[in-house]
Order: sequence, then structure tokens, then C-alpha cells
Amino acid sequence: MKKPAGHEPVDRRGFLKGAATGAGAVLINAPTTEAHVERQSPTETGAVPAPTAQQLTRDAGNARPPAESGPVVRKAGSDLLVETLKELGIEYVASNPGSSFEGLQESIVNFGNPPNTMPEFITALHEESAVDMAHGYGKAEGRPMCALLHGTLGIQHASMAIYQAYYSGTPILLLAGRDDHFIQAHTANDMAAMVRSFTKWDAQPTSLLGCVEALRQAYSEAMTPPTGPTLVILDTEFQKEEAAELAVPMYQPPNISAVDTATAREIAKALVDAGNPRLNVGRLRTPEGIRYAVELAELVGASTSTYATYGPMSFPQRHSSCGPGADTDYDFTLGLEAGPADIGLVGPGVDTQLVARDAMNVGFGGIRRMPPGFEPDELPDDPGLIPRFSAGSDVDRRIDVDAEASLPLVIEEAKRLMSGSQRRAAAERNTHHAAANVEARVASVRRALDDKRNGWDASPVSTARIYAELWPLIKDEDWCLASPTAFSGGHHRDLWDHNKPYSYLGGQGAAGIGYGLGASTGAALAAKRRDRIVINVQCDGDVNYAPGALWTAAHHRLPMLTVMHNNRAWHQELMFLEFMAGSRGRGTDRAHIGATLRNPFIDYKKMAETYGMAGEGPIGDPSQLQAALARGVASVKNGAPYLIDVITQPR
Amino acid sequence: MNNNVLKVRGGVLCVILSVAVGGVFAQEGDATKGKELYFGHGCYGCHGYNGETGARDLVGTDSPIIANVDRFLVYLRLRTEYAPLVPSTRMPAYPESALNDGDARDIFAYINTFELNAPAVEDIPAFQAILESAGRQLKE
Repeated sequence: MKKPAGHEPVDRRGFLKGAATGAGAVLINAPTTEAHVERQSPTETGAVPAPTAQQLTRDAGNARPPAESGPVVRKAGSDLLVETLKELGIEYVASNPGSSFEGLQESIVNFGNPPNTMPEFITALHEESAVDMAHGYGKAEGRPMCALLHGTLGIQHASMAIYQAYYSGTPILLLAGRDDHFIQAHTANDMAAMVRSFTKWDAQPTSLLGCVEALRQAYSEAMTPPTGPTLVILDTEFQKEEAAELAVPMYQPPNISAVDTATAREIAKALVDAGNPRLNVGRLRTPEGIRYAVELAELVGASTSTYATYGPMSFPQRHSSCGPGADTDYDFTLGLEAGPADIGLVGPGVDTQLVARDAMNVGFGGIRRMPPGFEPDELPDDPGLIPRFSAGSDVDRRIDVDAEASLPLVIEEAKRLMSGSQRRAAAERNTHHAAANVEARVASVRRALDDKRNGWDASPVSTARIYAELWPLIKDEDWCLASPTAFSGGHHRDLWDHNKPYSYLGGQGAAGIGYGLGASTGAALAAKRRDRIVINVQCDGDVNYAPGALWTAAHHRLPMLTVMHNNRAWHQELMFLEFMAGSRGRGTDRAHIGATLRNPFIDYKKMAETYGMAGEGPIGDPSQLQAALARGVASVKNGAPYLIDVITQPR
Repeated sequence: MNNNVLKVRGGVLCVILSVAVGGVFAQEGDATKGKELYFGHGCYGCHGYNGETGARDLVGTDSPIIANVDRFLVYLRLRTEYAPLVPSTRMPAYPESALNDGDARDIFAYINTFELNAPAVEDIPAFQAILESAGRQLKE
């Protein structure tokens, strides 16, 4: 690695050598260690050579930091990096500590006035949790927060969460420390290569100013369609060098590709000339896009669909335009990151990155290009499971531009084109749509309630009752449902109103388990400064992958209510195993082996208490549920996370 | 799978189920034993602990499959032979070697103890709050 001019490298190799020797002399368990080495002698066992006492000392983590961490500087390079993050508007950096970024961590917590603010260091207990937090935050806000990873180890710990964020198209700014002079297993020549095929962009800068520029570009790339996680490798030496003479330039947001004026006019004309226009609205990028979609629908008198019951950043469900409208015989439909439509504005998907990002041709399913002959009806029914890039496969004429960036141009052209009579007709349609949409919504809810009352008084508690009992408690609050809900029945889709960009944050991304708690914690980070509460209907199988995020929520006092969907199983797999055993004629009485969480049952109230979070349960009597939920909502409104362990019906 | 083939197979299944109404299997089952078997064989996995929830409700439905024990038994056995051809459900197949007639009757007896715990929509306060919300639209 090329060193910056004037840099005084720290001889950490020399330090380590001395530390290993010295530490060995003061090991309090040295006799035991020596005995272990003796027993495992290759001359007796014929096995591979045993580690030496020095190696054991080193591996036990007895290395001490150097007396000096580098030359004394007036302003550290990592201070400059914190200024860069501040300029980008990064609120939080989630991380568990690692030696490769100790310079940056020290700057975050000590540099600035006030220190540890914009960004604030959020203590995670696992890198997967840290990235899941950034994932939940990114979905809720439509912009990145940071996850800070330690070397090759941190990136590998985080890789599953990165993978899911990539599938879900969520902007995240990932940072990873790199120290080429410390433990060699923690570094690599090309650190980002491990996750390159499922990150949007990465850089490993070779100077401090290069780091500043890389952070800015990484932010822009994360926010530019196809949105997704980006990764910057920060060498430890750059974090320590002098930066007193350097300043952070003002950040300029990226230009995002939109329709040209002629196409905007063509679309606008089709909308204003239509007797019954329609907008099908998918997942937009930011809340700003939703405001534009609402403005366009109201302007041209269009009814709309929404993706809001399946994921974030879509049309408000209870807006008067949202629903089938007064007349379902639509004569022109515009798709905004969604179909079906006559014309669809659909931004680029991650598949467009394949040539550059998947050099090894791993071809992760769903990311790779669709094979020849692929039919759109092969996509899953649940839009929450459809990768964002495949939106628009049912569009007659797809225009590959970002819908959100295009909307202002279409609105401007529509305003210019609309005659007085067209404006009056649009207003009249809006009135008719409003009445029809309320009627349709009430009828839909009545049908749903008739179904969801089944098992209302059953014990264990029905999953529908959890969602139904929550609604009166949160309907007048600013809430965010952050956990995926497919495994707990998805009842909010029928019972709740999804009116905010963050009402429901959708599925895991790649349908992977272990995401819910971390993502909810990240959503709660976003909620904390915005007077919002977060609901996490938490599957028991999922929470056990990385339960340490409970501690993060307690430590940072995050407004997150966790309601356990405790069916004591990885229940989807239990059903699959039963079918597999049944199809082979072997019976289903042993299918629970490996798919259930019994003997012993896990006590989630105690788990929460262990991590410092208040809670109660287990609750199997449905008559106790409402009061417990009320206590939970009251707690999170006061800023204290809360967990309720509810023993539930399987689905 | 060709849909027409499925329709034909489905028709055959219905005919056989109808014939079975005549009472090929006549013995009553033991609901107490059936409860243990219901949980032991993981029936709750798809039908819920009370038969009211999950992928397939057992109570509050008009399913002919559980109209009587004879149909139930025929269905279990027919799935063994025809399951791959009747992919409309993920219900496992149950040959007699995996679940004998006596145990199946016991399970059926237990299923028949299930009752629908479904209060009227009007009697559930939370539902009334949901309906009230449904009748309102967002005011910008």
C-alpha cells in the first residue's frame, strides 16, 4: 500500500512480536496451556502440530495496543471522515468494535461539538445486526445510514444482511476498516470482493482525500437507481494521518435519469385526455416521490393502486384516490415502478449491474438476468417477494427511467396541457373515486373481519387477534410496522391503514431468516428522533439468529414494541417437512425434529430481561393480550422498548 | 401437470368419496387418544391447535372431506395414491403404514370436538375500531 507523504508508519508487526513474547510470561493459565500442548503433542497423537505457547497467547487476544497509535496530529484523518458523514447527513453508524477502525470510532465518539452526534455511534452486538439496522433505517427513510465493519471478519459476518439489502434495493453506506499491519487474517488485498456481486458499488481508496471522495460517491451510488448497499474500505493509516489543512467540499446530490420533455408531454397528454386514468404505484425511492404521486393523481383525477401494504415508499392507502375508483374500466394506466400499465416508468434493477459486479458469474438466483423464455406469471404472487428490478414485467411499454425523478416533469406538462373543462372533469372524478374507494374499503374490511374472527378466543392466541388488538392502540400514533409479516399471517394488510412512507417496511429482501429484529431496531433508530413508534411482530425462529439487537434497543432506548409470534418452531419448514415425509409415505410424527423449538421452550421475557429490556409473558390466554399490548405501547411511547411473549397459533 | 388431467382425477376422487359415504368404515374413534395423535403427527401445523386457524381451517367450513369419518379415511388413503396428481393442497399423504385406521378414526373424533370460537364482528371492540378507520379517508 502506498503511504501518504509525511506519514510515519506504525511498526505494529514489531509490537506484536514483543507483545506475544511478553504476554506469554504473565499468563495466569500458563500451566494449563502447557499441559494442553503436551497432551496434544504430534509425537503422541500423530495429529497436526499443536500450536505453540506463543501462538496460543496470540490467539487468546493478549496483544496490547501500541504505546502510541501514531504521530500526534492536530486533526485526525478520521475527524475529516466524520465531517464527511455529517455533510452527507448520516445520522447513525452501527457497529461492534474492531481494531481496523479504532481511529474512526474514536472520532465519532469524541470529535465535533457536540460529539457523537450526526453521526451517533450505535453499539451492535453482531455485524449482521448492524447491517440489518441500516437496512431497516434505509427502508423507513429512503436514505442510508452506516454500518461499520471490521476487516474480512466483519464483512463476512455482515454478508447475509448485505445480501438481503441488495435484493430489497435499500440504500446503505457500508464502511469497513482495513489494517494491513495487524492480524493478517483480518485483511485482504481486495476486501470488497467477498460481497461485490451483491453490493451496488465499492472502493478501496489509496489516500485520505480518496476516502472522502469515495464516501461521497458511495452515498450517491446508494441513492441512485438501482439503489442498494455500497461499500468503502478505509485503511487504518488514513484514519490516523494529519488532516488539519483539509476540508470537506459541499455535497451535491446525484442527477437521476428521468424522462425527457417530449416523453413527459406524451405521458401527460395521455393522462389528461383519458376519461378514466389510473396510476399503479409501486415502491418509490423517497417520501418526496410519494408527494409527487399524490399530486399527479389529484391533478388528473386518477384512481391509484398502492404497494404500501407490501412494502415502504408507496401511495397512501387511505388517500381518497387510492382504491379501485368509481369505474374500473381504465382507459389509460401509468405505472410508477409497477404494473400492469400502458406505459410504465421503471427504474433500472440490480440485474443491470451484473456485468460489472458479478465478475465470477456466481449468478445468485433472482439477481441474474431472467433466462430466455421467462414468463412474468412465473413471479411469486406476493409482491413483497418480487425483487424490485422485476417490477414492470407486465407493462405494455416500459420506459427505463426512475419514476420518482420523472414525476415533476409529467406534472409540469399536465398542468400546462389541462384545459378548464379537463380540470373540472378531474375534480369530479376525484369526488366519485373518494366515495367509491371508501365503500370498497369498508366492504373489504368487513369480509376480512368475518374471516379473522375465527379463533378469536382460542388459546394459543390467533395471529389475527394480535394485529386486530394492536390497531386501536396505535391508530392515532405515528407508527411503523418494521418486521416482515408473511409468517405471522400478514393480517395488517387487511386490518390496518398504511398511509406513511414507512407504514410497513416489507419482507427481508431475499426471504432470509434473522432479519426482523435488527431491521426493526434500525427502524426504531429512525423513529426515535421523529416521535414515531415501531412495531415488531417478531417470529421466534428469526429472533434467535442475532438476539443481541435487543440489547442495542435497550441501550439506546429505542421506541420498539416487540410482540413475539412464538409458535415454538421454524413453522414454515415444519409444514414443508411434514409434506415431504407424507409424500414418501413415512408419516409426519417425526417431522418436528429439527424444525421446532421445544424441550426446553425458550423464555423470551427472560431473554429480553437479560438484555435489559422490559417485557412480559408468556401469554397464551387471549383475554390477557389487549392489556399487555396497551402496557407495551405506553412503554415505547415513553421511549423504553418492550417485549411481549405471546404463545401463538402456528399461523 | 395438465389441468384437464387434474379435473378428471378430481372427479374420480369425488366419486370415490361419495361411494364411501355408504359406511365402509364404521367404528367410532377415541377423541382423547386423537388429541395426542393430532399433536404427535403435527396436524396442528396447518390446521391450528383448535382447527380454526392456519393454512386450512377445520371448523366453520363445509369441506366434504371431514363430513364423516368414512370420507376422511378415504381421503387420507387416496392422497397416498393420488397426492402427486392432486397438488392443490400441501396435505401430506397418509398410507396405513404411517397412520392406521384406528389412529385416523381417533384423530377424526378429536377433530369433531373442535368448536368455532368466532364472536360476531359487532361483539369485538377492536374490530369496531378497524371498521371505523376503514370508513375514513386521509385528510392531507
